[in-house]
Amino acid sequence: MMSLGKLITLKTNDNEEFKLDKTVAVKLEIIKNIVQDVDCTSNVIPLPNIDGKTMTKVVKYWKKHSEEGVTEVQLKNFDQDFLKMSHSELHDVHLAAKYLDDNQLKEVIIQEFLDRIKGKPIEEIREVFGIVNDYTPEEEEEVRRENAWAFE
Amino acid sequence: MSEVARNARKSTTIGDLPNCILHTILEFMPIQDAGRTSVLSKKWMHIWSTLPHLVFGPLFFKYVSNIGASAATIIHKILMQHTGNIMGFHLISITCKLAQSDVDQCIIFISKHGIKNLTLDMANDENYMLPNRIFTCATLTHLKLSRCIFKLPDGTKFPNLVSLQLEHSEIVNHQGSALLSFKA
Repeated sequence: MMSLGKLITLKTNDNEEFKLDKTVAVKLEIIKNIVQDVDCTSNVIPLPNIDGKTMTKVVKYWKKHSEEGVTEVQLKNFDQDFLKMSHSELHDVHLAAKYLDDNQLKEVIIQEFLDRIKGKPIEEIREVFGIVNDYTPEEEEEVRRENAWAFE
Repeated sequence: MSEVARNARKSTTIGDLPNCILHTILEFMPIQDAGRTSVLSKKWMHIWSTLPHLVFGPLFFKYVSNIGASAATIIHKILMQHTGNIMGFHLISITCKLAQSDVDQCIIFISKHGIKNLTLDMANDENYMLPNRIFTCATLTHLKLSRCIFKLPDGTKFPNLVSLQLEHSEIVNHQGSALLSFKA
């Protein structure tokens, strides 16, 4: 077991290392379990499913959200800025949060995806998200008819 | 490289997200918005028709009442289009009175389609009596009931229930008199 105040090193699949205060890192279930299982003072924790670019974002989020004395408003502004990334980057962060079992971060990402879709007309969602309409006009008409209740 | 990392690399648009994330995104929306995504493409139709958790909440009932449609008809339509397992079914009708027979049909349908997590909050004037089938449903693990009356049939058991929450509900015996009552 590690003593207090020690740093934990997380190593991504492209060999980038992140040194984190233990108090920040053990908030994550997966890190806590690994720390409890092995003596991590001399070792690094490998993160085989996460690359450095994504981990940089995750660590940035963790650090801000565990900052002492940080206000709700500051966190809200931080989140707004933090979420200004491409769909695929958001997806990478979501996968990382899923792997790290960080429910808060997972929810924030899902909510951002939702905000990007919400209230937009079908054509615009297709355009923004690069969705290819593979219905024939007849098929699309049929789907609209079947789900007419949602299009009132 | 792990499958997760590989998927992360090739993903470029929202449609490339794995189905489980798309399901989560849709489940966060009011169900009428989720239904609308079925027209985006065939993949999105599949995502919609296999949505594991269906939530009919206050926003749905408000929407239905605004368009002057019948909530029961729409719920039945959604269930009939559904092609996957329904793990969660949440009916929270604060403003809309649903007929007992309509709700019975829903429960019978979902009890044959893998239901695990069922919420019924039926803000009806009259109490709503649960159909017997729910007491023997083998997949059901979580049940939350508001404003329901249970009539316990002989030999009742929930084979795999883990959690039961009752509000404003009553459990009555065979003769119809109350055994337990939760009014809080």
